[in-house]
Amino acid sequence: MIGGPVDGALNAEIERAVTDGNFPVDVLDVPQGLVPPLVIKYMPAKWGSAYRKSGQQLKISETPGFTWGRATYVAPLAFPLSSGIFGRVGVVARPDGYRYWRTFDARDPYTAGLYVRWLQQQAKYRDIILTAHSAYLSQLYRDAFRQRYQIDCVLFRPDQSNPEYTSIQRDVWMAVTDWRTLSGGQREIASGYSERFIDPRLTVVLEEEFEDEQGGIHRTALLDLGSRPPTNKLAEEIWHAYHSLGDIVRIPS
Amino acid sequence: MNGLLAVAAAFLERMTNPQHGIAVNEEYSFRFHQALAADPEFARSFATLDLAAEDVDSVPVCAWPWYLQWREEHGSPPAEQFLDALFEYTDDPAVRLAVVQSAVYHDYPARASDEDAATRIGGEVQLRGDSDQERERPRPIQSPWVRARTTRPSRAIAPARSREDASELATYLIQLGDPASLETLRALIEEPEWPGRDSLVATVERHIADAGLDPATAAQWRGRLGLTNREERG
Repeated sequence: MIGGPVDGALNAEIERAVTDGNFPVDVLDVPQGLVPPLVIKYMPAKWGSAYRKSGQQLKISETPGFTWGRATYVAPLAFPLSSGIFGRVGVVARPDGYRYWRTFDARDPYTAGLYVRWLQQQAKYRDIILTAHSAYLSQLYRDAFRQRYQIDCVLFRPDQSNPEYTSIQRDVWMAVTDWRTLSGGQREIASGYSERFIDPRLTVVLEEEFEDEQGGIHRTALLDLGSRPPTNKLAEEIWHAYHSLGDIVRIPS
Repeated sequence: MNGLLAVAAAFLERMTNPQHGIAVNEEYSFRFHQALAADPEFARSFATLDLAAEDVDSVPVCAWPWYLQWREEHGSPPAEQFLDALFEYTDDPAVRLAVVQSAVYHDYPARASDEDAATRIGGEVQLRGDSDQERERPRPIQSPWVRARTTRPSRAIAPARSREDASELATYLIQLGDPASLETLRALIEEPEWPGRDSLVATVERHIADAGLDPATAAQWRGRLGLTNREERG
């Protein structure tokens, strides 16, 4: 699905916003200029343990309810705890070929508004805002939009948070698309395991555990033992632990 | 009833029902993909399940859109009788959209039926090119399900129902928007015998008008769907 008719001027605006290689590489900057840049994805311990072994791949999130549809969700290492609210295990990996990604930067209200305007021109738009089918249809449309404009990466602000760990004003989350090529040469969004990230490895373990509150908008800390999560130089510490092949950074609650 | 589906029902429900929350959905999705990776034969058989009409209620309805989409990537087209039964089972637009997409999708890695292959030339769906000559040439409806649903003798269904069917089908096809869906929509518009055709054309025109398109884009869409030519032909 790639959606129905779209006004020519709007289509051109979206095409201008999503150009080849427009990924803003500075979002991956780690303090002290450490390279290569890394990303982090948190997950429950029962799945995270698999990433102690080499040769793993990150899994593409494909069930309904993810902000930008079927994609691999990660955070730049510069925001080392931002998505820790989703699991105790932080898996770190290297993004591959990111300089060439076609990127939709939804951090910018104008750019995010382009998606809203595109959505409003779709035939089933009313079903999204006026019926009980919104979650699944919304996911379909976000996938359709990303496929239509061949978007490799969406950058967006967190839409779930715990203020001790996540800043909805400052942090950046990424939804990265994997593609599969059809017989006619067109590309569709793939499922399964992502080939966008190299050498994912279990590198961080959080003491804290979280659960949904307010329908998942807020993630409540269940232990909250009073130790403030460290932030100074944590990204550098994790970067070095990842490259030490086996070191684990442990984060107190 | 398909035994594999019956056993998998509870699993699929936890994987695809948003009411369980993302954490549970993803946990089961992770387990599913681990099973696929560990057992290629399971992957192959699950992606090519021989589904019958009575299988429609063997898994929760929320699982079907996911399954149909996953099957496009890994398997073969479901039987038209099953798609018909699922389309009739619910009027949920997400499910019906998934049925239509599954029916017109033309890039299944594994093909199940000779009938489906017979609708193709050289093993591939023939999509119209952009040249004027290509645009002029009418092509038959390629999807067996769409063809069966719309060419049933005006026959089994009342005219009002036929018009509703046409309008709904047009909405889904224009919404899918990919070349195969638009080709199907154009073939329906050019289908001379279908009583729902006028309703279908009216629906397409309404969607083009509602989208607030600039005149050039609207003309492009109308031309792509054969509406301009049709009017010119009178």
